[in-house]
Amino acid sequence: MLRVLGRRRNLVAGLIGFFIVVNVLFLSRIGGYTRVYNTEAGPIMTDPEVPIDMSSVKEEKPKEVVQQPPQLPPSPAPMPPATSTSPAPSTPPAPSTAPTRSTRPAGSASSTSPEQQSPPKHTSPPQQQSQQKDAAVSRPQPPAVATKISNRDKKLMAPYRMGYGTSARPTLKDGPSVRIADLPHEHLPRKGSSGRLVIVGDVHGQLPALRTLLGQVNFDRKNGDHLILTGDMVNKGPDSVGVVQYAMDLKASAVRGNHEDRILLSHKEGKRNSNNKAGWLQTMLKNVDLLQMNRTRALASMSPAEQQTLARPGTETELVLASKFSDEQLAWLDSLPVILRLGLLSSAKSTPWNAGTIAVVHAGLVPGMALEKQDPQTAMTMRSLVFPGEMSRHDAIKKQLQAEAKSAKEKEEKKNPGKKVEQAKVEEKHVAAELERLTSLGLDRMADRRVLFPRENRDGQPWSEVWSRHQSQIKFEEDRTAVIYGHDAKSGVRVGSEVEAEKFPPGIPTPPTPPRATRYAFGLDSGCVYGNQLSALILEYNSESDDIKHSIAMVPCEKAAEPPKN
Amino acid sequence: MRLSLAYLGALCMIPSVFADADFSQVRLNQDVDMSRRAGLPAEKYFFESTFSMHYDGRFAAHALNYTEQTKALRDLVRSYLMTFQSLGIETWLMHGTLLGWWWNKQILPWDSDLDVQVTESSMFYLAAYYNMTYHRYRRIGGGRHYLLEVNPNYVVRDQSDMYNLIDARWIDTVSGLFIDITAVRYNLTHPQGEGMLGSKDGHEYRDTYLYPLRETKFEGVKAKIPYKFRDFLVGEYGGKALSNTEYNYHIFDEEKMQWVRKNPDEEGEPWVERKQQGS
Repeated sequence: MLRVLGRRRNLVAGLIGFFIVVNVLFLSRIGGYTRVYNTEAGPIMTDPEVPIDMSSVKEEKPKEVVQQPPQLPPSPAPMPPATSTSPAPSTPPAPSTAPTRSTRPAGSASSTSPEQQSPPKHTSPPQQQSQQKDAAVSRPQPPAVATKISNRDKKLMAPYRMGYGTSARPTLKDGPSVRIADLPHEHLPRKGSSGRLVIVGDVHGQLPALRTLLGQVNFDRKNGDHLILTGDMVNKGPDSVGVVQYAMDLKASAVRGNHEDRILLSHKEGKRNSNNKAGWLQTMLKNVDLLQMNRTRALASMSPAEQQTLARPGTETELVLASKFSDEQLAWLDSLPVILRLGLLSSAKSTPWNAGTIAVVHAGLVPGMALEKQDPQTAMTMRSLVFPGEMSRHDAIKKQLQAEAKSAKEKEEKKNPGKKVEQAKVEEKHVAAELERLTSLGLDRMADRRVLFPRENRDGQPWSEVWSRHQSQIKFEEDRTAVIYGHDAKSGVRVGSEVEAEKFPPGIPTPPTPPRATRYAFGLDSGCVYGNQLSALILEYNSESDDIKHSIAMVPCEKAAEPPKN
Repeated sequence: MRLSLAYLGALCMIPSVFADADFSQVRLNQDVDMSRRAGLPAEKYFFESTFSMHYDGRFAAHALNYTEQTKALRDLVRSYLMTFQSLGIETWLMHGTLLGWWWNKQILPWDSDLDVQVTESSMFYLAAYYNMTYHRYRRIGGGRHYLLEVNPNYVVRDQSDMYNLIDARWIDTVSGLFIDITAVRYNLTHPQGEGMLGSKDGHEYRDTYLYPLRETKFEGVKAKIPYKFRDFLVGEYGGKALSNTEYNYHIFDEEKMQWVRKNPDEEGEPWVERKQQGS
């Protein structure tokens, strides 16, 4: 009974809501209609609808309402102006309502309000187009655009719904055990203490180089010095075990790098797959040689159960390395966090070390996301940041131009049967020209650069520069985060005090940005394992300036591996 | 005993098998075979239905609607993952299914095509012991049977036969929906050297990208994904597929962690592409 009543109540409420909507819609139409004739600026009529839909309908039941409008005659008279004029550009009284409007597409666009859908329905049949049109209207328009914007252009200019890291992505069961850890405060350099933080880049099993470096900076634990490693201590170089044991002996802190992660993951997987719990690793490794001789034939002749006693192809090197570590060392490696938070340096006065947070991570972080929300896999592997919005826009324009070229070709062929027509090729310059034209019509290209996406390769902008610019623009210094990282041997050390200003693609009306920004991300991987240097960043209290200052130390390394080709 | 059975099976299979298991042999509920065979060569093994590329015409006469299909696909993938786990055969998510995992560990609602992979040796094992086996997946209301069917062309290692790119199928015998199972094989003559894996549908990658597999969940069931899952996704779909919260008439609701239809009242399924192509 209750259920039925509840349903009815909903229906009644829906009907009432619907009535209000239809009435107001109708009235606003008439209002718009008259104003169209008074001001020569057609699209005003879309504006009065906004407050209505926010207050009276909210997002209750678009269900009843959306379906109805086509059935009733929605005032035939006011329609012509709506169809003949372009919506919204150059509307003088618009600014008062604009702010409320602009929030809509970003917010609850899933509940598309009925009012916004119904008016343009007659001009462009598919609902999607009408919605995109609305969204296009809400963007700040360039002043005095007298030209009509075609539906095609509106579609290409529609803003994208995008997000990265705003919702929690699925976590992995066998991911890193610790995501974030805090460094004990007693290690932080401060006034009245001679202790320093010595942060060293990717060691990759180069124990002699690490010893030399620490000797060069007179590293002394009795003095209060503390060592932090930025990950990738193991693999590639000759003595991974030695480096790990040395770090453990020095009670060093470290973060998990992609190499530690892979070794631990391979080790866990092997252990899980094996029936022979005690000697599983030795059993697996015995078969490595056999597998490498003729992997395919060897595998094909075995049942899955038999295969599981073998080392996983592609992870043999990791398993061989894992077998050299003691359980204690493996446990230490597994306890390393992805992000190590150093906290606040209370004696720091100047940028960047007066930032509220200082963090150590192996590869990088995505700007605009809290440390807790950073994806651990990305933090261990990323190198650059791209703008997926720009890429989507580019692809959409290219697709459209190609479709147009195709239809032009088909048209031509229809006109002259038998004649063979070449389809015009869509090149980058055509896309660029079209992009420029849309920009002149009011395409908000900065909006396409709002969402950043991390990449492992160097396709995008170096993440540390984007990070530095982003942090420099945060108003209060205590809200900023300075990062120290490794991972990117090819780019080498990045420790200059400033980074270049953002470079925009041609044609974007750029906002005024400072020409340079303070560096907030310090890269320390100088390719020791490839025969270059091992680098350290030293943070210490400087009594002369009563401030925390950093310095860089480097030592040459023996070459132990070939750098990757790409 | 088992081995001799396998030999017997292999002997029967290998000499020129044309087309999938005969309709009269596998039919359960249906009287008419709805497979689209016209215009396709007899060498093609798996046939799709006349009404959709994502249904098996031997088991269904029409496509399901949006809600029913989502439900059926969910059971399909759950039954597959659970069965393969109990058979001890390692399998991992790929392509669109992996993308669905990235967003919310679920199937993308507009995707009626599920993709999984196994190793070549697992495919041999499946063919020897489990070809044409029915597996019951129990659910409230009775559950249903799923058929594991191996394409005899699984023994062909190269990509020459474009009509037999799929090595096996996991088929829902009630709805006709299926999962394409492809085997990855080591390419012994790859210009990039050793360790390159490839499937017949043309996807190639290095074994270090795949292994060690990561353990996770998909649609609430234990599942595995490639080690460098992000590289797979970005390589195949671009970064935008991992950040666009609007796609194919759907919007990703970040609070519910769900893909929802943009216009829930819209009739039909505008995202369905009924392209007729050989697969």
